[in-house]
Amino acid sequence: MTNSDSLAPATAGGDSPALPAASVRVPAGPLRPLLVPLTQIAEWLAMIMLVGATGLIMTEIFGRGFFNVGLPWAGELARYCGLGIIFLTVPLLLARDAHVKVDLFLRWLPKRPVAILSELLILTFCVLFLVSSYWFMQRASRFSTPALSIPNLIYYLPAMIGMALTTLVALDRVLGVLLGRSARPADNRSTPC
Amino acid sequence: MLSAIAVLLFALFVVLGLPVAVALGLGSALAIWWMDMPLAVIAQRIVNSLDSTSLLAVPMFIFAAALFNATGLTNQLFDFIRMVIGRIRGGLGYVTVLTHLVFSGVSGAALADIGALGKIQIGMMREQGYKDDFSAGICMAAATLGPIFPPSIPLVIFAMAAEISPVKLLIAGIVPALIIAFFLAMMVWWIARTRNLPRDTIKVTAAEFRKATWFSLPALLAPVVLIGGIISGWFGESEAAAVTVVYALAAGIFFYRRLTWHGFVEATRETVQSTAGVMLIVGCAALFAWVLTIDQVPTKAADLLLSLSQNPWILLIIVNVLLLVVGMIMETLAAILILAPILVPALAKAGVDPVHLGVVVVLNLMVGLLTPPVGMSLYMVSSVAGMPVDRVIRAAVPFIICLLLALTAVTFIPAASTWLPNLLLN
Repeated sequence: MTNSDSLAPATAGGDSPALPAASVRVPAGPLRPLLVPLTQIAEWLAMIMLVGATGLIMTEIFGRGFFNVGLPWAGELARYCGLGIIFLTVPLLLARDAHVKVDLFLRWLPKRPVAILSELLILTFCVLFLVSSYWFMQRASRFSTPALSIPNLIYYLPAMIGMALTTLVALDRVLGVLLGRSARPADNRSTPC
Repeated sequence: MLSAIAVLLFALFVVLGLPVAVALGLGSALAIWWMDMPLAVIAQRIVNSLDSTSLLAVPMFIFAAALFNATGLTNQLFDFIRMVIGRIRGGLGYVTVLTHLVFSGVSGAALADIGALGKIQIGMMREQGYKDDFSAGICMAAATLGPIFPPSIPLVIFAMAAEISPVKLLIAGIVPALIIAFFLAMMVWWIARTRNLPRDTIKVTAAEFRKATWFSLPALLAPVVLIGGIISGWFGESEAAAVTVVYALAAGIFFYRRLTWHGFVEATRETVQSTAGVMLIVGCAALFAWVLTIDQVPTKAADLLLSLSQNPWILLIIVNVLLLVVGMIMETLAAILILAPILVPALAKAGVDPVHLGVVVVLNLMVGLLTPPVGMSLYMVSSVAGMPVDRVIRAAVPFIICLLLALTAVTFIPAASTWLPNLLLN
């Protein structure tokens, strides 16, 4: 199994002793066998959406440049793909512990209690987001998108699916850290900025 | 009260090692819940802030750089610039600065630049007898060019947060990037003389040089295509980025014939992962900024700043000091999204051009990438060079001074940022 096939943390530039190793990697929880294929399918969908978004923006440019036609539907679909790229990859990043974090202070904190608390807080955020999404969609689902008249329920679906999957990953991590006996150092991940 | 709870919770969650996005989102969400406000606003603010045409430029810029990497174009570019200027004393130092400047014309991100170029540059300098401290320092400092020279992800995010033209702000980054490159080149010149740095050992025939020039042409022309497209008004920021992706694909498939299916898939995978990490922070920071706005923090902060002084220069000095501290402890994009709505109204009232302020803010936060404890470049270079972080921190010091000199020039010469966009776009 390669790194991309597993849910092991991704590293920024390979394993190195220079990387800080204050946080702990959460052991696999009982949901992991189910989550591995689901997060990978979501990632592949995001990758297809990335290629799709590029194609749609190019279509918009060609339409405007060569045929003098504005194509608002292409822009709208590109934005839809943009949401998919983000939210469908978030579960994988959480599963791999690859979100950006500051682990400087963890050196001075007790590892296991902090790991349990952190995972519970991440799960709380995911649950709050899902509850919020329910209330948000109660109102938003009555409307459609301006160009293609796609119901908002479908337009925001990638975000909702992505966050639902992220909640499952967060739950698995909570179970993993509660049931797991050992915890290993985690790697860092960088962001482009 | 609402914003105080959000800020305190955010700080606590960062200390606990939560992902920055979750710290911002959960801090805001719990404050909203505590204050009995409608919960729907959490998802609404996060999702709607990311549903933006301008923000599509972010994955596109990352994708273009990943494709250029997959094609092996970064190595090509490095070798070509070595051939041109490598043989002067300390040549690889200048090569590093120039390679970052050209590569920043497609990537738009400092850490992506270190990832793509750092290993080649530091490895080559090590091979030729340069001290690791110099190699690591110049590599980190030159990578700050990425987010200043167009395309720049932080500048696009600032434009979105400050509600100004992203195109204008992207063009505004060109001259400041050249100023930074100049100061870095001066530092390389000074170190080369005082520490007697070696000359590059590369030797090429005229035929080899012609061949290298021909093969580097697509990489050298990429920034021209992108910036030319933006300046001419043919493309917006996300369209220019998509064109660069297609250009990188075409160069990889038809010109170099080195872009494989596997390389393409890996570039796509790398892009979605980097994008999701960055954009979730953007979405959650937008929610955090909304919480601050509801509490009228931007207005109060603007009043406070203006009560200290109405003089734009003094305000810029205050902002510089504030941002240098913020850059040390806060993630760049989150800092931009939270501080831009606070700083722009106050400084605009005092007569500072928001375009000028945008470049100053981003440059400040880029210096933060080289300063502990949250200096991501430090960790990245430490990983790439296999050096302990504390040594990398020491190595960064002379180059931080260099960047601060460039920052001073950019701060006190507003025309450095505003002249070119005004000339080309008005």
